[in-house]
Amino acid sequence: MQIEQKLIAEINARLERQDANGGNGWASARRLAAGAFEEMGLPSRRSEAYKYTPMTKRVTEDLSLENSAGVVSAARAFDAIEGLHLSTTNGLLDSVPQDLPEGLTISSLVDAYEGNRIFVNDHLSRAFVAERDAFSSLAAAAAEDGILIHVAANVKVEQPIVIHHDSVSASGLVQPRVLVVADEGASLKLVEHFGKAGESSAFENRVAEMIVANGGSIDHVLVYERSENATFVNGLHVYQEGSSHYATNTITLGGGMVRNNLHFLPDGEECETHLNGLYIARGTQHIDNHTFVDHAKPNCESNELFKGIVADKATGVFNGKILVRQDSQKINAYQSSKSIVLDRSASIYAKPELEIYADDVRCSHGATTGELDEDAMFYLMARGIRPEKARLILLEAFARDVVDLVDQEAVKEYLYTRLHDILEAHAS
Amino acid sequence: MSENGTELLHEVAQSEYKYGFVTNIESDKAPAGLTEDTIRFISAKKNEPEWMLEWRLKAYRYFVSLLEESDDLPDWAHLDIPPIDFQAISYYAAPKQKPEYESMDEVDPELVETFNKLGIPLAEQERLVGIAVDVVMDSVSVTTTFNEELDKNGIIFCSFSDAVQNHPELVKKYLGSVVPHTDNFFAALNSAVFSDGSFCYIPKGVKCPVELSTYFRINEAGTGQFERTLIVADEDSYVSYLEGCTAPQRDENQLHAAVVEIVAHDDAEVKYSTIQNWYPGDSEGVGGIYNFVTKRGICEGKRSKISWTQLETGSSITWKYPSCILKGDDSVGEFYSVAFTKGMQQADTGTKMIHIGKNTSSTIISKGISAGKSQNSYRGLVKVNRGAENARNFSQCDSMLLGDRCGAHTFPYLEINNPTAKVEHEATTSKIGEDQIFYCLQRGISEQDAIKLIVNGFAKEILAMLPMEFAVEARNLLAIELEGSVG
Amino acid sequence: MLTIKNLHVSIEEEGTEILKGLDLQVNAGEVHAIMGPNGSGKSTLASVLAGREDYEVTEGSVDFDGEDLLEMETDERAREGLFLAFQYPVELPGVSMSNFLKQAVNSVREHRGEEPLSAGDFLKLMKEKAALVHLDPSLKARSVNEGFSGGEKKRNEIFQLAMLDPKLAILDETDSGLDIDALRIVADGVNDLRGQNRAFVVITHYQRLLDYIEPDYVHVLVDGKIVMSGDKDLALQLEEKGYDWIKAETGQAV
Repeated sequence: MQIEQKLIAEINARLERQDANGGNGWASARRLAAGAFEEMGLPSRRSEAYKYTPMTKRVTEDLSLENSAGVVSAARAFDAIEGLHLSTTNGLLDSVPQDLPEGLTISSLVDAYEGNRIFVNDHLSRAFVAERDAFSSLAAAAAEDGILIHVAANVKVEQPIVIHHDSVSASGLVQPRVLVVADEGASLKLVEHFGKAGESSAFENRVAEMIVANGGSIDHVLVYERSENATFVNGLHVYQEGSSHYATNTITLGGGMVRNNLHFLPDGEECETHLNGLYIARGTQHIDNHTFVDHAKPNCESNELFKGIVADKATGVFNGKILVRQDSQKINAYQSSKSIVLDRSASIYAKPELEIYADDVRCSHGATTGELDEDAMFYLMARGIRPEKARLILLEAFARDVVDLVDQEAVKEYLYTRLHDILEAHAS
Repeated sequence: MSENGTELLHEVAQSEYKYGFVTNIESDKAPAGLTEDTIRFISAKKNEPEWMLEWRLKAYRYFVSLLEESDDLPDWAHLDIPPIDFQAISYYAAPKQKPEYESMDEVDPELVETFNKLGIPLAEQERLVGIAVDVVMDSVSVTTTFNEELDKNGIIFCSFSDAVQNHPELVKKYLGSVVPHTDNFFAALNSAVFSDGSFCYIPKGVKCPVELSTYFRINEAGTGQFERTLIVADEDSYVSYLEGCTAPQRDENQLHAAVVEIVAHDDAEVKYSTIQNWYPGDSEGVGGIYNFVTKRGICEGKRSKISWTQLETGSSITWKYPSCILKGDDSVGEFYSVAFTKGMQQADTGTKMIHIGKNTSSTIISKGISAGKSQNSYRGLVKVNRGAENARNFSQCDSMLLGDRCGAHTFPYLEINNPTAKVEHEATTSKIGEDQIFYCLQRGISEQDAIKLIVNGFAKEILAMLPMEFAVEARNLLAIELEGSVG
Repeated sequence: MLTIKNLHVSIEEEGTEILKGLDLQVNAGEVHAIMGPNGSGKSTLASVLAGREDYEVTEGSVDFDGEDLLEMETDERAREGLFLAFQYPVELPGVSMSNFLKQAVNSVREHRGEEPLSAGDFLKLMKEKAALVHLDPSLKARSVNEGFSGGEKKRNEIFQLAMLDPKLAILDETDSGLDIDALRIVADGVNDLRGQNRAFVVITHYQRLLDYIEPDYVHVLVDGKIVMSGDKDLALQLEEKGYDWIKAETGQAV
C-alpha cells in the first residue's frame, strides 16, 4: 500500500534527522519497531486479528506523521477529581508538574533519558514487543518523545494521577508514547481521560507500556469520549513481575472507530490481573476490544469482564484470548463478555478464546448476547414502572456492573451520570 | 452391540491400531497425479453423463486457481499442516470387477473376512435388525443391502455412482446446493475427484424404519479418499444416518477430503451420527490420515431439524465443522461432539450455526479430551443474520486435559446482527479431578479404570445422543483409546 | 489388624507437621473412636491411612494385617479391605452408581480370588445393601454423589461400605452435617455391619455419634498425638467438660 511506504519514509526521515542531531537513546528500539511495521504492514480485513474491524477504512492516503494543525481543547470533565492533574497535547506534557510526592517522577521521555539512560533503556519496549501489533509498532517507531510516570520502590502514591489528554483537530496521525513504571512494592493509581473535542477527526494511535515490578501495584482507568469523527487505536501493553497487581478499566463511550489492543503478560508467579471494560456504541460507531492475557508463569490469577451495548447502526467487537503456556500450572483465569444489541441495524461480534497448554488449571469463558431480560422487564412493569423507564433501569444496571469495579469514587460518579444521559436516549 | 462386536473391541484393546490390516483385493487404481485427464479418467470409469463431467471439471479448474494462489490452505485453524503434494496422490482406486452380488456366498471371501475384522458383521446382517450398511471401500460402494425394505417405502439409498445413473434429476437438483464447489479448498478438490459415496432420498411423509449406515475405510496405499454423501429428506420425513470410518495403518499420510450435504424440507428431520476412527499415526506422529471434511446441512423447510453427533478419536489431523444453515422458519440445528486426541494428533473441529429464518434455534455441546502431546481445538461460529428474528443459541464447550504436554483450545465466533437474538456461550477447561481419582482408588478401582470412568462420565451426555448400537461401540472405543494414553 | 507406631506426618507442600508420633492398635471386631478438637489431625490420619498423596510420612510405621500399609497404593489398600467413608464425598458427573460400584466390587472380588458377580446377583446385592441405609434403589442410575443431598451422600458412603465388605472401615466425620434422623439411619447401618472380623475407626468431633455407635475404645487426639485413651465414658466426660479439660489433665496445648 502507498500509505505504508509513505509512513515508513516519514519515520526514516525522522530517525535520520535525529541521528544528525546526535540521536536519542531508544533509536534502536524505534528502528526495530519500524522494521516490524514494514514487515507486517497495516492489517487488512483478511488478518484474523482484525477480522471484524476494518481499520483500513480510517487509514486514508493523506494520513501523515507530520501535522501542524491547531489543537482543539477537549472538555475537562475530570478537573474536579481530587488528584495530581496533568494535561497533554498530542501526547506530550503541557508542563512538568512541580511538588510531586517523594518517589514519584513525571517527566517527558526525552528528559528522563537525559537524566537516566539506563532506566529508560531498561524499561522502554519491555512490555511491548515489536512484532505484536502493526499499529503499536508504527507508534513506537514514530514517537520521538513521550511521557514517563515512575514510582520508586516501596513508595505508595495515594492520590490518583489524573491525565487530561488534548489532541489535534486535523486529519493527522497522533502517536503518543507512554511509559508507566511501578518499582518493587510501589503502587499508583492512574486515571486517563480523552474528552470530547468538538468535531475533531484526530487519528490517535498510542502505545502505552505499564510495568509492575515485584509486589507492585497499578490501578488504571481510561475513559474515552472523543467525537464520532475520531479514530483511536489504544495499544496498552502490561508487563508484571511476581506477586504484582494490575487492574484496568477501559471505558469507551466515544470515537468513530476505536480499537483497544490490551495485552497482559504476568511474567512472575502469584500475579493478579484484572481487566474490565465497558463500551456503548451508537450512531455508526465501531468499537473493538481486543484482549490477550498471556499466562507465562504458574500460580497466577486473571479476571476479565467486558460489557457492551450497541445501538443504532453501531458495531461492537470483543475478542478475548487467554493463553496458558506449557508448565504454567495452577492458573485461574476467568473471562466473561456480555453484550446487548438494541437496534435492528446494530451488530455484535464476539470471539472469546482459550488456548491452554497446562493441565492443572481452571479456565473458563462465557459470552452472551441478547436483549434485556424479559422477566426483569415484566417484574418492573408489574410494579407500575413505564417500559421506557424500566428499560433504562435495566440498561444502567447492566453497564454499572463494570463501572462499579472502578476504584475511584469520583470517576464512578461521573460515569454513572454519563451512562444515564447516554442510555436515556436509547431506552425508549 | 453383538457378541462379535464386543470381542472385536477386546481385540482392538490389545493392538496399537487394530484396523491396521490391508486387504489384498486387486484394485483398479488411477496413476498418481491430478490433471484434467485424471478427472476425465474417473468420470469415464464411472460411465458418467456429460453434465457430471462438466460439473467436475468446473470444480477442478476452480481448485487449480486456488492452488495457484497457494495460500488458501486453512491458516486460521490451530493446526500445523505439512505441505501436501496433490500430484503424488492417486485419485481413484476401485476394487476390480465390481461384482453384483446375489447373495453373500458370491462375495469374495477375503472381502467378507475384511468386513468381519472390521467389525461390520456383513455375514450376519440379516440378524442385525434395523441396520442397512452401504460399505464404501476406498471409493466405490461395494454392496448395498436392505434394499427391499427401503424400496417398499420409496426410500432411495444407494451409492453415489448409482444415483448419478438412476436418479440424475435428484442429483442434478441437489448436488452442490449446500456445499458448492467454491466453498473451500478441500470441497473444491472433492467436487473434482470424488469417486463415490452414498446417496439417500427419503420421500414425503416417510419415517425411515431402519438406521442407514455407511462404513468408510481407506484401503489402498497412496490413495486419497474423496467420498461424497448427499441426503435429501423431503417434507415430513425422518432418517437417522450412521457413518463409521477406519483406515489401515500405513506410515505415510493419507488424505481424506469428504463432502456431506444434507437437505431437510418442511418438517423433515435428519440425524447424522459419526464415529471417526481413522488411523491417527503412531505415537511419534508418523503416518495417519489427514481428515479434511466439509459437512453441512440446510434446514430448507419450516420446522425442519438437522442434528450432528460425532465421536472423533482418529486421524492425525482433523479439520471438520459439521454445520447447519437454519433457513426455514422454526428450524432447529444441533451439534454434539466428543473429540479425543492423544499422541501427536491435532484436531480443529466444531460447527457453524447460521441463523437465517425466524424463530430458529441451535444447540452446541462439545467435549474435548486431550492426552499425550496432542492439540485439541473447538472452533465454532454462531451467526445470526439481520432478518433472523428470535434466534436462540446455547453453546457449551468443555475441555479436559490428561497430562501436561497436551493442549485444549476453544475458539468460538459469535456474530449477532439482530436485537432479538439470545446467544449464550460457555466454556471451561480443567484437568481430570484428582479428588475424583482418589475417591475411585479408595473404592479399589485402579487408576486406569478410574480415568476411563471419569472421562466416560464427562462424555456421557453426548454419547447418549448416538443411536443405541453406536453408543455402546462409542463408549468402548473411547475406553480403548484411553488405554495407554494416560497414567 | 491395624498397628500404627510413632507416626509422623507432614503436609507435602508446606512441610508443616500434623501428626507428631501417633500410636494406635486396632484389633478385629473392635470399634475405636478418635475424638479431638479442630485441627488436631483427625482427618489427616484418615487421609494418610487411605493413601492420599498430599501428605508425607516422615517417620513411623503402619501395619495392616501383617503388611506394610504405607507401601501400598491407594487402590491396593482398598482391595486389601481398608475403606474410608469420606467427610466430603466426591461427585463423579456422568458416572452411574451401578457402573461405579460394579467396577469397585469386582476389583475387590478379583483381588480375593472370587468370581465377578453376575448382573443379577449384583443388582440383588445393591438392593439389599441400599435398604440398610434407606437409600432409594433408583439411585443406581444416578451419577455418583451428583445432586445428592448432604444426608444422602453420607448414607451413600455407608451403603458403599456395605457393598465392599471391608476388614477395616474408617468413618471420617460421618456425622457432620447430619440431622438427628439421618444420624440414626447412618448409625443403624454401621451397627448392622459390626462383626467379629471387621474393625471400625470412627473419627468425630462430637460425642453425639457415639450415643448411637457405641465404641469399645475412645482416644483423644490433640496436636498430632493421642493424649488420652479410655472407654466410652471418656467421650461422655469430654462432652461434659470440653477439650480444655484435657489440656489441664495432660498439660497439652489445645
